[in-house]
Amino acid sequence: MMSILSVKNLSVKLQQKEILREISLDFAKAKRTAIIGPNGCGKSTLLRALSGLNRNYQGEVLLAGQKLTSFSKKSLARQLAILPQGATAPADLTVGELVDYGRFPHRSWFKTDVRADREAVAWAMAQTKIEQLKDRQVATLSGGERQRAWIAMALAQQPKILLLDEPTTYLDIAHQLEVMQIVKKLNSEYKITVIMVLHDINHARQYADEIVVLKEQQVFAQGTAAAVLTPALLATVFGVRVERFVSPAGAEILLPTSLVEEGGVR
Amino acid sequence: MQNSGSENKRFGVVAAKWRILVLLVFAILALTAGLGSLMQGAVPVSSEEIWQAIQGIPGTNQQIILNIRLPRTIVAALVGMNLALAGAILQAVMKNPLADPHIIGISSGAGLTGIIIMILYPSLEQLIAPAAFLGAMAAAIAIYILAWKGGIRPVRIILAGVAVSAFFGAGISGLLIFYSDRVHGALMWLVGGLSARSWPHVEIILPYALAGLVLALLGARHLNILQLGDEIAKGLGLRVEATRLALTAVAAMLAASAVSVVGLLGFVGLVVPHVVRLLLGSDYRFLLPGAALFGMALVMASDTFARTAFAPTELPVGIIMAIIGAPFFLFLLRREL
Repeated sequence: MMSILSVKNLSVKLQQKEILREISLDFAKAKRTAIIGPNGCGKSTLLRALSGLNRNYQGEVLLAGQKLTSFSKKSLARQLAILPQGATAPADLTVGELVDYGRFPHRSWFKTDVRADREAVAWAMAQTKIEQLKDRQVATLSGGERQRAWIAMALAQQPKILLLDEPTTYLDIAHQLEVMQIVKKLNSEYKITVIMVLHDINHARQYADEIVVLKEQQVFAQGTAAAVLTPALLATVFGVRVERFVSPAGAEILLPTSLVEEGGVR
Repeated sequence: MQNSGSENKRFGVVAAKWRILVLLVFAILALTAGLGSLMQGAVPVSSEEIWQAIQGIPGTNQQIILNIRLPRTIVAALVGMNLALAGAILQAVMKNPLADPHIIGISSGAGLTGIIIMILYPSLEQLIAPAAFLGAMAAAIAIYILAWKGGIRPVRIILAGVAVSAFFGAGISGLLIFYSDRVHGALMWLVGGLSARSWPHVEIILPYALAGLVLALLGARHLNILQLGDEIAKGLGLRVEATRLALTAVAAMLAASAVSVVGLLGFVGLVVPHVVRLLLGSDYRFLLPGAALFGMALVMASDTFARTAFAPTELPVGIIMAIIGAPFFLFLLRREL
């Protein structure tokens, strides 16, 4: 298995505070990886370092074996797209314009390929099923529609790697499912490597090939969903007791039932 | 539901046509305002006389048209364009709907260094514009640094701007008091006026206006991306800090050249981009040309009004702009913050 993105001895400090301490990880190419862990364990920080949004760290981030910092910012944006949390657009921006802005890394003053741009934008909107919303203002969309519009913008970059920071936060269950299925399809049909921070362990169980568990600035575990997401691990990492159910259709459900009192709830 | 796809497509085409139509209307407004500015005044002249004068056919009012009205109208147009573009750029760069070179103190910075040259080194007149640029840039950077605290927030920029503006304003007032004998029409300059602006002033502002316009249009796509916020912009491969600095410099240059010829003319950079935004949306590829044209129209029309409404008394155009602009600022303050 080849790793497309990896970190070696990565340490990140934010305002003197250590957020990640000498972690090393490999992310498999064309797979879906979920990063989970309790609040404040450094999930978003890891994603920001992986994406190059934060370059202020010790250690290395490697994209296809090369240092992330050796790529020009635009060439990096053609290979890797990130959707941070809480993105906001100008009030009068339309969905079509927003998705079109995703073509920025493919354009320059001297060269624009109008046809390639149009095709990429159409493809991105089709994948996220927002063609009908093209002329709507982003500000007037529902939460689920807006999230799909932002994902479409990231897809218009035509990235090989898609990084998502809690893409289902604030969405109702139907829209959560919709986003996860879009992500799954992008990975299975177009071989886009997906790395996402998730807080719902059942989403992680259902939609990720690989799970990375962070705890107290370090990698606590990495492996397949079935191997990693055990009641024992969840009790240690999140401090919750979890019961496991299997539906008649074979889907596994992890249900947190109580807090583990002894040993502290951290 | 079934044919809404084609309806959307049609809507997209309509949107594009609408934008071009609005730009045309702005162009017609600018031309009308320019013509009105040439025709109205102490001596009214007809459009035929203007046409003859421009062709070089001698006439009774040729001197008035060519040496008084025409240069003044051109200065008004360029000042309007520059301030409108500077405001539009600053609004994206500072992520602040209320950014305007006057309100956030960039004009005061330009004013202080400009007036230092004007008063202390009057023989170096050609250095007024470059000096004003340095002052504007210093003010912009000061505001940015003062407002920065793990990110920039609109309210902090306005407050930092008020402080910076007061600081430079005190310098200007001090200079004007110490050297009150040396500054003719200082009052006019403080509120921004076009009185007695002529060809030398056109020469001062024109190169900066042309360069600024070209650079602003080249930055239109970058401004669009900056509006999405730093995180998204970085993710799209924009070199955010470098872009922000370069575009701030363009805005400072545009504002400074305007300040060096008309003084502290306020609110153009606030009112114009917002009106244009309402009609054209916030795509800078359309917003910038729209703001340039509407800025020209507004300042030319306001100046015509300012010098004819209370004739023979001539008001500085800055008073008209403040009467329009201050309520508009309050309206935006209530809506946006």
